[in-house]
Amino acid sequence: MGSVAAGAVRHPVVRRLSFVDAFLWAFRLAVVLVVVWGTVGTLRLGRYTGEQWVDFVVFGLAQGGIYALIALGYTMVYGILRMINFAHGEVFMSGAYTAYFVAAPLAASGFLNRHPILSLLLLVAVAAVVSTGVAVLVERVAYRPLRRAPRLVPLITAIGASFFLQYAFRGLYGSGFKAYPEFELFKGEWQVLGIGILRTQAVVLASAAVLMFALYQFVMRTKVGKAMRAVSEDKDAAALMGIDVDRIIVLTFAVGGAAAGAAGILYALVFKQVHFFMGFVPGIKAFTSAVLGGIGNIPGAMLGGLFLGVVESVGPALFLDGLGIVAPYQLKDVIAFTMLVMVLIFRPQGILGERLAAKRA
Amino acid sequence: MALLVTRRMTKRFGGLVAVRALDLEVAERAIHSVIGPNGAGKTTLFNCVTGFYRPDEGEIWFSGQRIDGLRPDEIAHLGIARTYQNIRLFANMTVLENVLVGLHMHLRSTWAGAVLATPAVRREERWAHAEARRLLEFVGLGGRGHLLARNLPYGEQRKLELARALATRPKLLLLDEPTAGMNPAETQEMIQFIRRLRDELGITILLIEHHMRVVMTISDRVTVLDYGEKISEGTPEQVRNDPRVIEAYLGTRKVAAEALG
Amino acid sequence: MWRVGLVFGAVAWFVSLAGLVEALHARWVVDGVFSAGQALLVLLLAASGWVGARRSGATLAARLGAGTVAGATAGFCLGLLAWLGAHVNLRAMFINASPVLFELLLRGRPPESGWAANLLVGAALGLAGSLVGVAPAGLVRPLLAGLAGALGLGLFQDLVLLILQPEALTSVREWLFVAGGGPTVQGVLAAATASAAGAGLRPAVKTLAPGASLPPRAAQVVWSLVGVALLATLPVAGGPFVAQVLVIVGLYTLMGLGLNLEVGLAGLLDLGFVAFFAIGAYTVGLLTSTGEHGIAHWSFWAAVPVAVLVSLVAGVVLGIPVLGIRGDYLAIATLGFGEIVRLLVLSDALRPWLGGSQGVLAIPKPVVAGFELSGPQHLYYLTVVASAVVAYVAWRLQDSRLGRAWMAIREDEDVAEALGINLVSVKLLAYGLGAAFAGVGGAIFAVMVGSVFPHSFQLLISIQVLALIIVGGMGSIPGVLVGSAVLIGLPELLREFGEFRFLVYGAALVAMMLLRPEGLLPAAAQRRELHAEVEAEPQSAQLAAGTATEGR
Repeated sequence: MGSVAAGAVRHPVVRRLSFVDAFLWAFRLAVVLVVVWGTVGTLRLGRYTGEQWVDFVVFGLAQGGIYALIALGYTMVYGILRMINFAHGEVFMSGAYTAYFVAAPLAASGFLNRHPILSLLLLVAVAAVVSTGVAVLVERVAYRPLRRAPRLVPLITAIGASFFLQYAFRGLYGSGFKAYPEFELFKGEWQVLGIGILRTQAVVLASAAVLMFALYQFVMRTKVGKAMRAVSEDKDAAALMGIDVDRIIVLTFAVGGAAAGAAGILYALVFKQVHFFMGFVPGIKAFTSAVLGGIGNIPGAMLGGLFLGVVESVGPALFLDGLGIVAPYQLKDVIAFTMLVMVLIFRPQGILGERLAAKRA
Repeated sequence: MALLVTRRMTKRFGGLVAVRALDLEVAERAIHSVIGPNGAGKTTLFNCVTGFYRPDEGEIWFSGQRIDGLRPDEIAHLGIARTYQNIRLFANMTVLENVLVGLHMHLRSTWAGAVLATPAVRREERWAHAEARRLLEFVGLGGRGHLLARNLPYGEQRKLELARALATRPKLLLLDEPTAGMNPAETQEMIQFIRRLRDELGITILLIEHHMRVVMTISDRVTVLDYGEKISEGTPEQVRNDPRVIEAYLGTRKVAAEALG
Repeated sequence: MWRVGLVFGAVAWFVSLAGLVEALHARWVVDGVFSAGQALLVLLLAASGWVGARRSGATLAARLGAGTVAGATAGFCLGLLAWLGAHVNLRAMFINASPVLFELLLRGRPPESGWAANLLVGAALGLAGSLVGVAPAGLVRPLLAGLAGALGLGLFQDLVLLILQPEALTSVREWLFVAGGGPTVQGVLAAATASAAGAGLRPAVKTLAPGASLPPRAAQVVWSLVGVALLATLPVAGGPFVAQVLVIVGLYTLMGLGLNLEVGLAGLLDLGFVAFFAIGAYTVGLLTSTGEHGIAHWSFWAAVPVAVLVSLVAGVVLGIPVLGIRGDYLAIATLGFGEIVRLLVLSDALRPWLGGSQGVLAIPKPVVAGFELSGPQHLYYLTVVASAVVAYVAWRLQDSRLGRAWMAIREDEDVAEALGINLVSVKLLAYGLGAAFAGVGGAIFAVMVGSVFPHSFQLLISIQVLALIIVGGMGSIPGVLVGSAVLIGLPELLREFGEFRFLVYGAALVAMMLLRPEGLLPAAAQRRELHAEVEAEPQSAQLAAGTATEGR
């Protein structure tokens, strides 16, 4: 460092490129190169038909809808408490896993296929109630007593709560995979504009869209929603305006939990199985979606989820296949995690650009 | 020649111009105050000088070297130290350790040397501890070194912050409201202390202060900022009688006269 | 007070249905009479009484009453569970709602009257718990110690039995334990009395004979000699099983010491830490393996420095991109990197070099002067030496200029930078050195297992390491040891516990943050004491030291 002090006058605009900056540029460049090179390679190979690409995109959208619903919980909680609710993935898991014990008897008695819509609504309701309960419980036990603690402290309890919940549900329900019953109605394809679309994915996408629309209206239109936004702007000012901040925080966790519970059922429709560890990866990806959209920003979380879902679904075939990589689909999570890391490094305020980055000084 | 010079320095935050085209010269061994209403851009000026913010336009020179665009640690190495408006200590470290961190850049030991406990490292550590104790003694915190910084009373926290800044052996010391929250006796003590820094150690002082009596007592020169612009500059006497200052500072002549005392 | 009882009742439901009670039921505290599972429920009921008593009115009667009500409520909840279990097929949903559990809850009574018995037992235990709550501390301490002693003998009977293995101790063993079963009645009573007496007499000894204790320096020497002797003989006395457990504790200690540099000192929360353990292990694996993926067939000793260096470089390389990220974002970004590393190693794309999910096999054991360190009892000494060296390095670093800079950036990065600390180099040193420590652990792990594969390097390991440094006390080196002994060693010794260890880790993280965020052996207090001693001596000399003007 002493040498810097002795250094000559430097012009501020053409500041020397520090080795850290150079490293980061190389990182960016490498990712861009991989993506471009791979894409060109894949397209030149022409291994996939147009229909397959459409399938990838639709599947990505369905999956992205699920991420988006989970992401709402992250983004709303972050907006209000400025903390990552690390246990949110487990909130998502708890609802779907518990609802299995409703779905299985319904399927066994034949009710599920006699009244599929009613059954689906019932399952969503059960999952939402359970997830809400777990979310509120976590807030009460693990976060509320630490409202004024340094930032790392609630993050560590959140990690603890996450693992506690995983293994609690493993203890309660067992460690095996449970096969979710399938709806006869949702098997097969629907023709939309001459393209065959898997019914499950259409149902999931439509349900996710309806739920997101409803949630958005709830936050923007209702009195409680306005109070939530007020609390996320400024807790103290909101309290002065007569808003019960604690109650709003609980409600935020509850709403986020309900959305995650519903997402859990949609996940079970797509992947047809549940287990105690199912919350982890979707949880991280939903968090990625929330950051992509600009954390704290509700429409951003929705768009971020859809975007991530599509990239992750199209990516292995588009970017990696062309590079001659063996079994590119194994690397779909690598694509998601790379996006996560890159967003955090290069654009922590998200692609939509709402700046919530920590203020300096 | 002036120790610190800013030339047409501008800093914006989004649409807000925090500091506009500021020309400032702080003479060597001066006690120079910056005053102005809340939001006038005083702390932004400090943050630009210490490299915390990068000015959008203009230049900053320190003892003949251009420093805008340098990192805060590089600027610290050149000899600028500061204190903070809301005291910022290393709360969970001891008082002594806080000062030792201030001495960081004057120590040479590397991690490998520390692991091997070479004689040079041990000698240096002994020296650093002695030096830190001497600094604590100097600011009136002798014998408090083993306490955790967060357990000090408010007034002593301010002193510790000063000791830590002095440990870097600055040529220029930026003090952000050093007498905030102090009673008249403590304020008087602080005024004496700041004078000693200049007179005994030869440190140039740039000071943000709301306490007009303090400003008028110790300043060689006063700069008045309002909405990020310099509206007046001169000796305390000149500034006190500048109608623009009176106008801008508090709006009405009567209140202003009282405030500027 | 019935609300306290309901909370404890809910907890009792949870531990019962999650399978903890039944798992612990397999272990006797008193052979044929009382199991650890029953002990858990009894403790819960008594605890509800204790909390109930402490939360209520001033008069003795009110507090005892409240405790009794809380206990009765919790007991009622348990009874209700037993009744439900007899009438509804809970097992369709809760896998652990087994007949054994309900048998245990009802103790052979029919469900109709069993719940009443549970209520009465709950009330009695609640009363007992509240009595403990109101009793003077001088009485409570020996009581609790006695209880811990009695439970400890049962819980750690495997360990005790291993130590009592030698022929000469057969009579002691037979007196303490039923052959092939749990502790005998007299054994439990003896353990309880011994620990109670120990706890009761300690203050008495201190007050009676203050001069009898050794001067601090001498005591330190004596204790460290005892410690070294214990460390040297433990695996010999305990056999391969204990040695294996201790090796694992040592590996986690190595990782804990590394993560402690990052999280505890520098405040950089790293959730991808296991990646560096993996890199150390894979480097040794690839360099030494005699199997298909081996590239150099080096000896272990040649490979270790390379492994440490590679881990260090990896720490720096993965540290550079996250230099600008703070706090919780940093945690998630490092988690992302850790997962990327694991997924890449696991993938078929890199299989030709890293072996995919099969990993690298046929890693030879280290050889010292023609002698192969094969079993855990040999590797134990390797681990101890490595841990001691790394702990020494960590200790030297902590009290150095660099250690202070780390703590400064943990406390306030901006201020630290304004004091002339180069954040880039200081942070990269934390990442690099922390990773190097983990690399040492990984190297030993590779030869211990004899193969490395991605499944050993899951996120869970990172979380465990984080948990152990938090439980031990962030930034505290002895804390790392205590943390890994408590969180890694104890569960290894408690076989039945295995399935529930992550449950307990999660709960421990939350509980530590809520109740004792500074950990079991906090760093700050130690440092303060350390410096207080140094400070005391040169007081007078320092007054005479020159004026503040010199040297300027």
